[in-house]
Amino acid sequence: MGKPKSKEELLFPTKTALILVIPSLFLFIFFNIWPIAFSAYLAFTNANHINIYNPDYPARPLMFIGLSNFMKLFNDPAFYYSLLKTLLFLATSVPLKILVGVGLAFLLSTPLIYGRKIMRGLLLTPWAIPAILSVMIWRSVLDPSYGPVTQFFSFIVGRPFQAVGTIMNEWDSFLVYNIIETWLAYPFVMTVVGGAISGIPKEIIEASIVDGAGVFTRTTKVVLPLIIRTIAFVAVLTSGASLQAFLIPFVLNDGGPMIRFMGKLVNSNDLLLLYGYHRFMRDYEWGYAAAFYLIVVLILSVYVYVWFKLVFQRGGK
Amino acid sequence: MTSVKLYLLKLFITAVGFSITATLLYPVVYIFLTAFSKLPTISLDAAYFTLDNFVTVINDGDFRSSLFLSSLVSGATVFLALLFITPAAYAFSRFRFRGKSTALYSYLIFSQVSGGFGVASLVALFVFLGKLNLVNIYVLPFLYVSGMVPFNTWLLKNYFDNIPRELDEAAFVDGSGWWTLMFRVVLPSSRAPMLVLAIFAFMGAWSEFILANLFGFQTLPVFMYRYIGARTIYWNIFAATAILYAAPMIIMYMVAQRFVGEAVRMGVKG
Repeated sequence: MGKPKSKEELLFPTKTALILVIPSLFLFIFFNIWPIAFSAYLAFTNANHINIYNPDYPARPLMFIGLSNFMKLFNDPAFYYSLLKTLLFLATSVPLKILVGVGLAFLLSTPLIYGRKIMRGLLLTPWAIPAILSVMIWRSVLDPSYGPVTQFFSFIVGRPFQAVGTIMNEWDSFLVYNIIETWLAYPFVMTVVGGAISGIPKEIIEASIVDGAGVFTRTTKVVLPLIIRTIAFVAVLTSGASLQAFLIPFVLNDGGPMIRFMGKLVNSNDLLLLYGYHRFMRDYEWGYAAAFYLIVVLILSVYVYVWFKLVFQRGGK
Repeated sequence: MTSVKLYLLKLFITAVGFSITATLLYPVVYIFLTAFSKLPTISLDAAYFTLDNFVTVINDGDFRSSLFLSSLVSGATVFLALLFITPAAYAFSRFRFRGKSTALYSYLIFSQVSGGFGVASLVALFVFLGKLNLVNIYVLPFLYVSGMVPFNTWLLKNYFDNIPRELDEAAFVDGSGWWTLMFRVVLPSSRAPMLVLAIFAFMGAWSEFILANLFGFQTLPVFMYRYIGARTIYWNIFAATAILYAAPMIIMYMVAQRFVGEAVRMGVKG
């Protein structure tokens, strides 16, 4: 690379910069962007696990089939059921995460508590554990024969609680998805909202006390309006996690029990990403799965556009 | 409010707080205690306390080969991450060049949906790696690093931004070449960011499950996943495995604690 010849070159050495940036950029594009572009090709073919490696496979030669995969997708009850379940999951898990996270942030922000630091440290535990292990830990406490959480819920509902195992209940397992998703995400909500609460100037709180506002009024009329933007911001971020939930349904019970929907057997809790994975790994309909995942990429792009707008309305991160 | 009343109120709120904390941490405590139990569940009876579960796990050849594979893949990922990402982050921090902000924004946006895009590209990735005959264990660390590029470039760039560039300029005035600049000035002053990158790369590779499972490489998470997929599950053995698996992560987490928040905010974890 030689010596920088001038201060100008030290500051703006385009060539050097490119040499440093391109290897990682190439790696990123090759393994992350290219497969998505390649999906767009697969989506218009009848690819499966045989003809993709052997295009002239007599029973089903590899060929372009136009929009057939998309037509099939939009006529597939299982697709709609998965979409419905994902939206439902968004509608239930996001408020739950916000509720628990904001509640804990308030709890940790009151001066009326001992051992705040220890408590905060303990509450951050789900962050220290990789998500995959967390889900497996939940699988163990939910075990149908030994799991204490299953025993507890069975006691509460007065019938066997069947979230995982050979006999499953659709809504029991959906409830458990919500609980685990909340468990994984509350440290994030708690930390960000807690930061916003501690950022409120003391004078505002003191002034409201002088004005005679009680704890409840102070919380709802003074503090909450000041942090509502942060809460909205966190809600958008954490919706992304719910929308992209994959490990929970996959590792916990592989999409829950099969049910009949509009005359077709479907996995009742196939959240969006898992639905495609099942078409890929169970049905070996690779072209169809690619078409589906193209739709998912579209949905995620809409989501990330909303997120991007929001970040920039807040004046950057 | 009298001080006695205030004291009681504080005690009450503290008790409520710790009850909530205990409830939330219950699954973790449960796994921890089960690992030392002779039964596949918690037992507070001292007669059922045992360390045999750990012995069983360590004597399991399958576990040991998974541990070896995980260590190898994680080590290679750390090395490749440092090799690929450090120079790029340095360039993004120090130099101006065409396309810089486009690349940075793309990284930022992508890191927000990397989990979903990752799964969405599995079919195509599987097909094209298969066609290129690239499905082997050596590709796994490259795959991991490629997924880490967007977020970690940002993370490291922010660290480099905080290292005064006067250092670079002073070295330039001294008339040193690029190599001297790199190895004598830049690298020593960026030990901390590189340590952070190494920790993140290790944690990422150690806990990656979806790709390893898809391609059938039995790293530790895949080993555990297969274990709990069996017909009979000895949860106490699983718990011991989980503790051995989590130990290095917990240590790393303690070192990297203050950076984890940032990682989650940018959507890397979970």
